[in-house]
Amino acid sequence: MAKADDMKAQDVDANEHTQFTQEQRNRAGRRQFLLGALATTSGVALAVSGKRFFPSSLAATQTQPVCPPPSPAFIPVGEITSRDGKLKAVLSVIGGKDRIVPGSTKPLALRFYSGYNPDNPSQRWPVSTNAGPGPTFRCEVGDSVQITFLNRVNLKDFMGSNLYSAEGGTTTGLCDEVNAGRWYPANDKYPNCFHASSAANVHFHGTHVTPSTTGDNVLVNVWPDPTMTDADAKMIQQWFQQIFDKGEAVSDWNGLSEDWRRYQVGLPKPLTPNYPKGLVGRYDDTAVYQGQRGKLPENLRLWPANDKKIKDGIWPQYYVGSYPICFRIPKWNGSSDSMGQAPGTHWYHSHKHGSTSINLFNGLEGALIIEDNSPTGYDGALKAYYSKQGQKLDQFVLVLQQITDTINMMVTNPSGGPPPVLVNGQLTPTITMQPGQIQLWRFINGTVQAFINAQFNSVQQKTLTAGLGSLKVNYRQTAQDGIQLAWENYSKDQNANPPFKLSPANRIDVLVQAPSATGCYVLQDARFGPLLFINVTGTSPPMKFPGTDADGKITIKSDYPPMPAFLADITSAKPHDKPIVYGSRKDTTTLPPNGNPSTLRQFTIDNTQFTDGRIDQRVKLGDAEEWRIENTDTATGISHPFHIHVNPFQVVEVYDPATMAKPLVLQPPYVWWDAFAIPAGGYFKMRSRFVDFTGLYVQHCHILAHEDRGMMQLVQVCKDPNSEECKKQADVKHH
Amino acid sequence: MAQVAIEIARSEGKPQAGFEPDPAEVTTQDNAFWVNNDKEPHLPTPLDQNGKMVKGVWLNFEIPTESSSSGVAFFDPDKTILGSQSNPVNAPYTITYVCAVEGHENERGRITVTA
Repeated sequence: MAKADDMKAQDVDANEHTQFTQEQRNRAGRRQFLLGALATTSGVALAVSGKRFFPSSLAATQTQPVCPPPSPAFIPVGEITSRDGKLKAVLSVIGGKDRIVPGSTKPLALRFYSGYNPDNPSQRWPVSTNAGPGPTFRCEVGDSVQITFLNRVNLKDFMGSNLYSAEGGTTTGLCDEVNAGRWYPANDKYPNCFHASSAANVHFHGTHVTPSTTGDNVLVNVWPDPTMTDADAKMIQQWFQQIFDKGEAVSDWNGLSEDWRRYQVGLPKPLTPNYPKGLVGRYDDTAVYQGQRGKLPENLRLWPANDKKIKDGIWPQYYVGSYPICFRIPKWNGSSDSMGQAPGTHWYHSHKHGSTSINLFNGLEGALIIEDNSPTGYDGALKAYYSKQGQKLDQFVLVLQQITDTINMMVTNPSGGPPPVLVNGQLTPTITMQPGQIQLWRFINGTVQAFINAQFNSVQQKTLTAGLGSLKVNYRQTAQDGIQLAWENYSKDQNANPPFKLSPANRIDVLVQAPSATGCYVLQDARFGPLLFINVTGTSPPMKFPGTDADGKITIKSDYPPMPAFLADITSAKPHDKPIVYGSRKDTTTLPPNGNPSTLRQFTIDNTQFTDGRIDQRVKLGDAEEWRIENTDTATGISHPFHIHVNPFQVVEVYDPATMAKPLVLQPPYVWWDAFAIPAGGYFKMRSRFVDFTGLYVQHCHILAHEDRGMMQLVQVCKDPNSEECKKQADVKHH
Repeated sequence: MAQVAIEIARSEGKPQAGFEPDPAEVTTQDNAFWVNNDKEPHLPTPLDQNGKMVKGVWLNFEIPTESSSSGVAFFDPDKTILGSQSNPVNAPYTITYVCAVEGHENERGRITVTA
């Protein structure tokens, strides 16, 4: 039975199921995590050489892995690929009661992505009831993304579970609830509580595209339509085709198919007399609120909110069943005041405030691989290097997830430890390599809250160190968060087998070379144990890392893809008007309903939680800014991972009081990130260029339960931040 | 941890609905939910040691037809509300509950809680 303090400890823990003693070890691990990540990318040598990779207490608790069997063969996720400049897909959110999750003793009821290519239906994923990521999307810079997004969850599939909760309408307010609110939400308040887990949208994490209209718009909420038939879905696709034919994000509401607008909101006139206000009006009329169907208060109705926005010329937020996603992945236009899309390992995931954590725990995410196959592009140059050697560079996408059907805070005494970290939905799969072979592995940390801190070991030997030669897995990092490393960072000595660390939302691309000796090897996490095995077998000519000279050193720059000019270092940036402060606090002002025994620690930015319609950071379009992002959350010791949408950033300075005597000023070339763990009690400085796209988007903690509970802010980019037009766009809400 | 569903349904010709399973078995790690497959709304409500309904500790609102409730966990502070019968230290123990909707008082069920 959990005590109140245990619950708080779970709440603040990035890996929430742990006991406190384990948490203390994890904090130490996370601090080492940060140092390690910087060692890869700072451009300077850090004073960490010679230190253990993680605390000895953790090393001592590792279990010796067992070589497969029983490890299953690695299964790549099915891909939907672009053709003729178009990435076309139908992506549905489905609810399934029969999802198979490794490590779970019975099938779970989960929501999941199901997708296919309408022009090539053989490209379809998933193809079984195994839980895991949605289809991998693979396209090229310059392509048009054209996705029919459908939400076909049937809420009734989740009756009798925590995934039904508030949406069933039997709670006091809009938050999910346990024990009449006494256990949860306790003092969490809407919208900063777990809620609306059937509502959906899609965030294209790492893309530099418009955050508005049909682009990377996380401010839209698509409610499920369980009544949608396959014929309805076909009709919707036909309506969306009118948008897709133009290939770009639409500019305004009237740019959408009129039939679909009528279907959604009955405007400018109803599509059918049965639903005079469309599907959105039907939702308002049939939703259950406080145990009564059709009694939704006026201020919670979706249709009036949409109607007001449409009249004001603002993009409405609420939809039922379907939504068109259409935008172009920009190729750099050569202008110094613009950027292009960085080719690399990106991803997509559900991003409805209040349900991001449960939806990613369910597996609502997938990889988005954006390639540049031009001769000097990231993909083209790497492929060309190996092609010249008469070799082929195999590549794998590895999506790390923890899958479960319940947020730990919704139960009183979670047992059994955290869910295992799965790779593409598999528990410790085995990748087969030939001796000396090099493969490109694209890792995506799609977990809700797990800090990955891993290293390669031999299963026959214990931890391998330099000097064991042929038994060693060697690797070099080529990209961080979907953006390639500059040659100087790729080629430096510290990038030979750098720390293997990803905070939630981080991606790394690594060229992994199998040892010359056959055998079984393992990628082992300090906390979660084995992540995957490598079975080295057969024979093949050894491969070399790009840039390798006759002496085995990395010196030949022409082998490596040049850094695109738009990703040059930001050498000049004006300071943002204020530091941005991540923190936590106890809410002592509000008593929880019915005398709940505990008050939950609240996670804040600038000492406040997310607020509808309040713009926390305004930036002028075209500006390059330097932000100082602090983390005052020493009470929990969590290194909250900062993430901002639309524009990547370069980290130029870091201070971690736990490991540094003074701030570390990094030297160029800087590394690009889109998620960076802020040291607890410390800070980092980043520079970003707010170019190409005006609009509203968010920055938040990528421990997603923290984001759901309020650790998020609205960011607005305008041509004139002081204009009335800019302020008018700020009216957003999260139902 | 499990999510334990308890169905509310009415047998053909019966004047009142029943809870199935009865008793339902949960652990202190579980959440219990009621799925209302009856034609009327219901509101499961626990009884204290004296057989008196304790409202507002499990659910605040009736469960509409074709719907399910929010979750109920079985944690420490309930012992002060429901009495020592629900002290998890003493698990296993049984909580008796009834439907609090007027006229449904004879609809009675049990939950057995194990550690």
